[in-house]
Amino acid sequence: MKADINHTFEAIYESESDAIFRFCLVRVSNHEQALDITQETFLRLWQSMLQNKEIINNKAFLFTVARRLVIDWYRKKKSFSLDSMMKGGEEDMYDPSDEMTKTKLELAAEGRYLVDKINELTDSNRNPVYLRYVEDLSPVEIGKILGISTNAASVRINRGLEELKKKAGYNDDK
Amino acid sequence: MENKKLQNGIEDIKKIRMTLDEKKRIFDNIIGNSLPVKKPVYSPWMTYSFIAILNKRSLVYFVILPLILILTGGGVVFASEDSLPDSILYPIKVNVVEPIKGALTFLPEAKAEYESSLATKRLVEAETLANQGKLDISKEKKIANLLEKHTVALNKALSLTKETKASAQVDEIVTDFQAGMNAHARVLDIVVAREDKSNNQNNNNTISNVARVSAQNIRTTLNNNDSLNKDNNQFDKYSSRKNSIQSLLNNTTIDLKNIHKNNSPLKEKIINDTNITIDQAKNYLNEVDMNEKEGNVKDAYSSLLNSESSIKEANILLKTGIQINNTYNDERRETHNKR
Repeated sequence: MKADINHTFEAIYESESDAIFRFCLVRVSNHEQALDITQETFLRLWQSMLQNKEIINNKAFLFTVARRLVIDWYRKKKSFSLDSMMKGGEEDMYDPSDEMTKTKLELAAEGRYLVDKINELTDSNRNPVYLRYVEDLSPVEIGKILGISTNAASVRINRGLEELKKKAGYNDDK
Repeated sequence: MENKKLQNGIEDIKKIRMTLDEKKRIFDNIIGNSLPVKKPVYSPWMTYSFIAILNKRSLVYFVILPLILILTGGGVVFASEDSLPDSILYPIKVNVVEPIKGALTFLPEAKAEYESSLATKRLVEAETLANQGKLDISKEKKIANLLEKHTVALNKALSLTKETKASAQVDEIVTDFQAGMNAHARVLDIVVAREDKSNNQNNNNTISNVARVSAQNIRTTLNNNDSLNKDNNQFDKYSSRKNSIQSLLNNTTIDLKNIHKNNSPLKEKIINDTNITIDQAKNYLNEVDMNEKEGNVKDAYSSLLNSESSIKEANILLKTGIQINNTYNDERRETHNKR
């Protein structure tokens, strides 16, 4: 029984781990942090499988967990930063430029630019655009991951794309 | 999406991957079960939490919840027992509790007794409301309708008693009903007249009228049933019945003499009406003696029932009237003291 679960998990891990890591890295812009969140995401999947919980769509499950862990990470980071400021220890203070360093090294110029612009998108449009065009997920899957209807997901994808083009200065004729 | 720069950017992002070492490390961490399965942290108050107990033990659903339902239902039933038509529990009493009790009474005699007691109860409720000055037209109509309903049910139950041949008991039920209806109707009229400040002489209200008509109808039904012809044992009980009527008459007369008279007009009216009813009972007893002498047994028995009904009426009238008068005086005294 456990051997079957092992096999299934391994197959899912092989096919989805890079996508989850990529999603986390783009969102948190910190390599080690992205690895931690990826591990935690797959650990949750592993535990659910061991407890024989029914998972209808593995991909949607993983992206949903990853998205929530990223949100948790942002919350923790915010409180940590405020605590540090209260204590007045400048050396401990959060510095976004340090976190970007590693990511910038991993990406080419156009990719890095696009990540910056995706992160500048409004909260509601950011994930739909990323999941549709980078991870090639369907509006149905995106809707499930974000907890919205398929129609709402489609609308956000289109609006997000327009917003991205505007922010990045991309025009269809160029 | 034909934008080339966008396509290139996306292709760049898609190249982001974990290294083989990172991938293997994470996989080993997970599969190696180095991290224990996280269990939810239970609150220390879970032991005392009712909802937690419900979540933990499904058996509780079959024990605690029915128990709560029974206790709550029992509480409502108990609370509705003494409710009046102005209470929110009253519809539960008259539409749920009483019909269920009636449905669980199977013998026709018992059913007849039960309906008779309900009819008397309605009149007592009307008296209580009238005594408190709360008896308005809508409540009058409501009680009158219920009274009619109980009379119909009583009539139906009495018609079923033909088969059981317990005619002595039927006669007892009918005389009790007749006496109760007439006595309470009189008390109600007296109380309503006291509350009515318009000095309207015709104070008979809907409820007392319905009560009198019901009493008459039930008595007529008894006569039509002609139970006398069907039950020969009734003659055996004739003399004992007559003795008990005589004894009740004596007791009521003594009770009447022992009542302390004061200037209360309500008390005076009750004493007068009781005296009149006792006289009626005595007259009926005289009729009994006359019919006996003439050998007219059927008429003698009918007069005996009338006499029984009248003396019972006098007894109820005296007790209820005095009680209502005392309650009224107590309430007035309390209100006066508060001021």
